Amino acid sequence: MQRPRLSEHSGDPTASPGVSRRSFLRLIAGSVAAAAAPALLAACGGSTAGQTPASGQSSTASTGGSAQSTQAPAATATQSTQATSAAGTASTPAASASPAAASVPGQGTAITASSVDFANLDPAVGHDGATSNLQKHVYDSLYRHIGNPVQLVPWLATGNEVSQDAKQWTFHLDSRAKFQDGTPVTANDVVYSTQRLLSINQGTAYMFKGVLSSSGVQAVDDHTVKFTLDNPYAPFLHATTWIFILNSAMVKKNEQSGDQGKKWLTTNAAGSGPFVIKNWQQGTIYQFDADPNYWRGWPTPHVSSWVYQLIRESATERLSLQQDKIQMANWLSVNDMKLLQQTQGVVVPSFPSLSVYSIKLNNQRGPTSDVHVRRAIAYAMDYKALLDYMQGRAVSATGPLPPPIQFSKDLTYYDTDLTKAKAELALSAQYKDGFSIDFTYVTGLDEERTTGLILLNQLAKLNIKVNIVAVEWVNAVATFSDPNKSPLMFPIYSASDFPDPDAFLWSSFYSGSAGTWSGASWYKNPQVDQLLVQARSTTDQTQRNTLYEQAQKTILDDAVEVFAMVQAGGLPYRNSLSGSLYSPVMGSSPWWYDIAMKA
Amino acid sequence: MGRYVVRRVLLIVPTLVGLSILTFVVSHLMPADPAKLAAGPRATADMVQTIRHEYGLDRPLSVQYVTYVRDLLRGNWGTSIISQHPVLTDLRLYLPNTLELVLASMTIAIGVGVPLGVIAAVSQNRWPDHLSRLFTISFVSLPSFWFAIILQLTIAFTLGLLPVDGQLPTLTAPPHRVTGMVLVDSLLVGNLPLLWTAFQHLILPAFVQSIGAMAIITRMVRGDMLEILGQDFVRTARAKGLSARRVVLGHALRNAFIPTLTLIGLSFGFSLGGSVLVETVFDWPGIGLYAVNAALSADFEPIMGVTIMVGFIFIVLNLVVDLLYGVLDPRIRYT
Repeated sequence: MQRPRLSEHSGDPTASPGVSRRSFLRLIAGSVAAAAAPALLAACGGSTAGQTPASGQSSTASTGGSAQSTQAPAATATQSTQATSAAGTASTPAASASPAAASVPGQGTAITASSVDFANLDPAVGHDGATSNLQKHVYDSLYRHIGNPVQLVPWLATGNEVSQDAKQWTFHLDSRAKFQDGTPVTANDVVYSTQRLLSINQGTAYMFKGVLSSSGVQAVDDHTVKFTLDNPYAPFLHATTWIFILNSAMVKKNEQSGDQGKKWLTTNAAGSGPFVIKNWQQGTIYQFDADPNYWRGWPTPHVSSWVYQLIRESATERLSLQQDKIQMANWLSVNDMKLLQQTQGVVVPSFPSLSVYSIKLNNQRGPTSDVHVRRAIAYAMDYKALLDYMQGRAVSATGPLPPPIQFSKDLTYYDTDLTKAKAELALSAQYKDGFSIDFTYVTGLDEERTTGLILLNQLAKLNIKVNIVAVEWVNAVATFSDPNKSPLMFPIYSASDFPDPDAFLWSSFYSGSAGTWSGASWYKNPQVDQLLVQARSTTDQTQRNTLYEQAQKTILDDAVEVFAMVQAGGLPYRNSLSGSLYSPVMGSSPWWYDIAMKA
Repeated sequence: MGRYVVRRVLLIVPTLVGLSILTFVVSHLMPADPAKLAAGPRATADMVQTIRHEYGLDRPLSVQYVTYVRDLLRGNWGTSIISQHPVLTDLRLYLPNTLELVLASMTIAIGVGVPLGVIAAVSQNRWPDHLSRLFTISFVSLPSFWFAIILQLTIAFTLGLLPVDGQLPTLTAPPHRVTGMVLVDSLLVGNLPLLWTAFQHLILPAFVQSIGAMAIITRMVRGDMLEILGQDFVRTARAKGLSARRVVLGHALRNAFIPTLTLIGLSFGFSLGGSVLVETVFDWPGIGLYAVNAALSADFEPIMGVTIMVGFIFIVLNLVVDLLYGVLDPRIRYT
């Protein structure tokens, strides 16, 4: 059940998946932004089946590097925790470097185009790819994900201390931090922002369910905040990147009828981030200026302003990029990406992203409730055909975890093998003679439709008749919460909000997640539940890896989903741009704080 | 006449009530869950319920409808579940853009269609008639979406004669908002360079939007003109020595225009609701796009808001058209 990985991409990044219904693509989460760096996939060669990306060739070395580096920050905290004193606390060294004494002035206005509009800027409410990128520019958080490979760096915090039981996290704020109106960022603002997120109960509040209560966050002093978790949560440091710190006084001043500032924050910001809103024309363009008074300064060359422009047609975006009317483009079609690859002055990068494309199989009803049927489908799937369709904009999946964080070297995956598929189906008492099944996909998404066609062709050889059904995304979402209505086969991109196995595995395979978009498979396995609970409860990374490996093996053995491919990350951009153009974490790129534009 | 107008105005209310009930029922019959959509991919059940409760989606449909109407009468058109923007704010933002586009397109459609139809009728079966037939059949057959992209590629991108998209250049600030229509506001504030820029941006989308109506108006005018021109009173007018211009424009067209006026009213209404394709290609932030996005998200309150607003405009438009009949033909009187 082993197949080569990362060998299909030829260094010829071409097109992004067809995404003609973009209005809901933001919901797929985790679509990442553009890149700047050597095309890692161009360097990748064949890899031995069963090897992790970390052990593969050059391009995989990059992804392996990112896997290692994404784990490093947690490992650092763990190591510090292990070296605790009797008091049971440890501290990480202050990791934030002092900014340069003199700030580099900004230069130029960069325009990035997209077909996806911002939903809601309120950091306690809006949470999708486009909006989160904006939030990360106008707000700061205690820590940030930056770069590729991803680094988790202290930002508003200078460091943290975590107790041995991973339940008490203490953060020390950078005394220089101040909001855009000049007022200092204090521990009370962190407390307010956290409690506000939890009480509004939208956006990223799900990350803290069963982890943190409102009463669990306290200001020890003006620059020290302490989180006491309800239950140990190893990736808590990652999760803090999604608590955007609000200027509590400003928000309170703009409250209307006790709405906690929700109405005002929809299109206004009360943050300490490096960019301020200069121009907000809903549905048209949004402009953000670099704040020359940003408290961390501007140590590197950067743009003085960036513009987010709505261009709804892929061809228009592509042409605009080719003519340098815009400097970066998002949500382009496969064909347009291919055309851009041949355009002088345009860089079309391709990196393994954190976005896993899998076919969710309903584990609770119909033929897919039978593990033998699921395995048969996984064996029958023609993975290469799908990758060929993607024309270099995807790589092979590495199971439930995407290549950048897949650490396990000991997993075996399903390769296309009709012999094994037939043998597996023959083990099913009820379905061995064949059956009819619906493949449901979101109308307008060509790669999903193509997946259905591939399965139609392949499963016909097993006497399984596939009916391809197109639905609107909003209708599909409505069915997920009922296993009797949730589709039997449904392709979906699953990304996560931070590069930790918990973020992927918990949201898709923990039984309590069943019924969410990510949990549309309705997988319920107490053994896996226990493994996942244990894994998030310890900061010992070695132990976590062992537990996650066991969980992944079970998930793969149960053929919960068909892990078909991993989307390539990276947006096309003009070569006049340089800097932090790509990071696989949702919303972390482009990171205009560190992007310069040549005149 | 006065009583007629009052009666028609009073009929607006029950018409809109019926329209709102129909829209409300149909939109809620869809198997959709906008709260779940808005909550996101990993939202827990209680988070979804929080949104449902906040927007009253957990109450009986009848209660939801009554609450909606009550709020509507107080000037609260509801809030989008997806964006959490007030619907009225969004309508104020997007509707003027579409009105601007539709007004411009109808101006083109009427300004070109009517004369072309007259010329075609007067030159029946001669080359102007054949040429107009060629244009009208082409325009009515061309998919507007495709035609928009072709024009954008050729005239905007390749030849660089007109802007590619949008209402203004990317980094150009819009004028001070008076009506919400960029062209009109530019004129009102006296910013002539901005007016010219806005006009250039409006040409392509307005032209594409106009071609369907233009074609139909042309054919309608031609057909009605031919019928009128064959009638006795026209022959009499010619016999009396009136100039051809006076006969055609002053007498024939005036009589032939009534059916066309009906068509214009309907076309205006259809354009208002059917501008999404042009808005998409030219990134025109109008109500068509807003409505489609709301429908795709099952966002009930924007759907209701758009329906009621467009419905109201449609009803008023029809009333204006009916009144104009009386202007065109003094024999038509309402009681």
